[in-house]
Amino acid sequence: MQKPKTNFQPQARQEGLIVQQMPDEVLVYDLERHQAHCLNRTAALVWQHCNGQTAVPQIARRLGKEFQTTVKEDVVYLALDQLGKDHLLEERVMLPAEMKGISRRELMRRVGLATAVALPVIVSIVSPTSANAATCIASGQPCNPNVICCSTLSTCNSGNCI
Amino acid sequence: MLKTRTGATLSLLLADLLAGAWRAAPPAPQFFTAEETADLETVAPLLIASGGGALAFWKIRATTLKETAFAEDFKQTYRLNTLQAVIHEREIEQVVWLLQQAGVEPILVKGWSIARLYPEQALRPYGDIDLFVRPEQFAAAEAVLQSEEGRKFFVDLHRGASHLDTEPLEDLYARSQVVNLGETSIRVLAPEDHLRVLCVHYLHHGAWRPAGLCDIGLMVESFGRGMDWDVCLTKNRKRAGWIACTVGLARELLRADLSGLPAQLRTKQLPRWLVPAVLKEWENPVAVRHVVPPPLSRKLSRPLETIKAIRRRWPPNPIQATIVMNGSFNEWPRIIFQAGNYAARTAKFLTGLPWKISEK
Repeated sequence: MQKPKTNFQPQARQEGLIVQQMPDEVLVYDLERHQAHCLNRTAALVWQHCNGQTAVPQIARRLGKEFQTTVKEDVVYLALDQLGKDHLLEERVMLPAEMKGISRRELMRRVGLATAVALPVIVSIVSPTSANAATCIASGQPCNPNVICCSTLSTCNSGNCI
Repeated sequence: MLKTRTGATLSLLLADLLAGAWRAAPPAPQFFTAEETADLETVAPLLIASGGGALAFWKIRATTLKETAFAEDFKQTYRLNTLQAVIHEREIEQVVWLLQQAGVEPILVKGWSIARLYPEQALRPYGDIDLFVRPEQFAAAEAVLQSEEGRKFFVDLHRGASHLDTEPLEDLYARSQVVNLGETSIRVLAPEDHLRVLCVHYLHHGAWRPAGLCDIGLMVESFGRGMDWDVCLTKNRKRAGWIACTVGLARELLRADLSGLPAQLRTKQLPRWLVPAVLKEWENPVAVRHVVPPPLSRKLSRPLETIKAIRRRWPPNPIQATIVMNGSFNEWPRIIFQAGNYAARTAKFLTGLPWKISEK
């Protein structure tokens, strides 16, 4: 575990990600873990300000400007906590002592009561679309005897198209 | 099987959900009863599984249905498709570049070449990269795809147009167009050829995917008025009939706008069996039901499984059977083609049986 740092300046992960900016949210695909995430506006703004040169209080102030209201540091920490868990930061962030040991649900409730902005939310995206849209399976990919392999030289053998 | 309480198939509900969904501003769905909305919950997972989830999201995103639970599932599919579209574009760039370096000039068909025409690429998911290559370049292409770099791509490599088209390949190349994807030039079919290939492909798979018919609607509405229909329909009257029927299906089921198209397409009377056959397929649009079944020879040592496998193959999909038997889409009963298709497959199996047994 990381030791808590004062004036910690979080750095967003840059490598191995595909990022798509949508009107109200940001979509992120982790090419290393093959996981997709959807960041709501608050989470996305926090993430975008994680440039390795901006400390949490500054991020909170910048968010305040965006939302035209006061944003507490707790909101930023809540976002950073989840961004770290989803491997979207170079380094995980330690929560301040007063936020430690509290369940995420309780944390959300407490922070939610004290803020006017939408809480940061990161949702994992899961859908069966791609597997079913393919009419064949590539070499080396898992298969079953009911699905044809793409290459004319491949057959489904021992659970993989070989 | 999905049947509504009233006995009508949910397939029509599904058709309504997808009608015009390929447009930048799709029409609002025409169903609003509580019962129909509830039925959509049943349809939603099937639609998502067959590649139509993002189109459904696109269609209902500005309606009251967007607040429903299944709308969130559609939206999740749309989000994932959005990301996958970016990944696929990178892969296509890489694989085409690799092939071009090896002196192979592929034509990209289906997949990205049709997805790029939708208002957003997320609306048209695809899993593999379909490429036509000249027969003399097939071995070189396959060597590239078998290499360490090439193996990571989902490529469906076709020697020429294989079963999808009978037009001379050089004509397809001559009419093809080059479009840019990033820094790579990608060769795609001319709209006339692409529509024909899409129609044949759709029928060849038994018209089981509702979203696949949206490709046809999109193509005719995008290019239909300026299209050289003599090229699209070819001189082969039978194939022209297949294409006219597929376009007719897009009109009948998905309300594709055929105005400005030749009268033979606009007023095409579909054979009476065709729409019910498609709706029957749409009752259960699940991919695993439609993939090529494993060879019967694999089950020879297990008689019970052999019987099950034989039963599973009957009756063949009437649309698929007609195409495979190179039949016409007319009012004749489909049993002729289904029986013919079944007999041909059985004969092929029996002919190879001694060899299969000796191999075991």
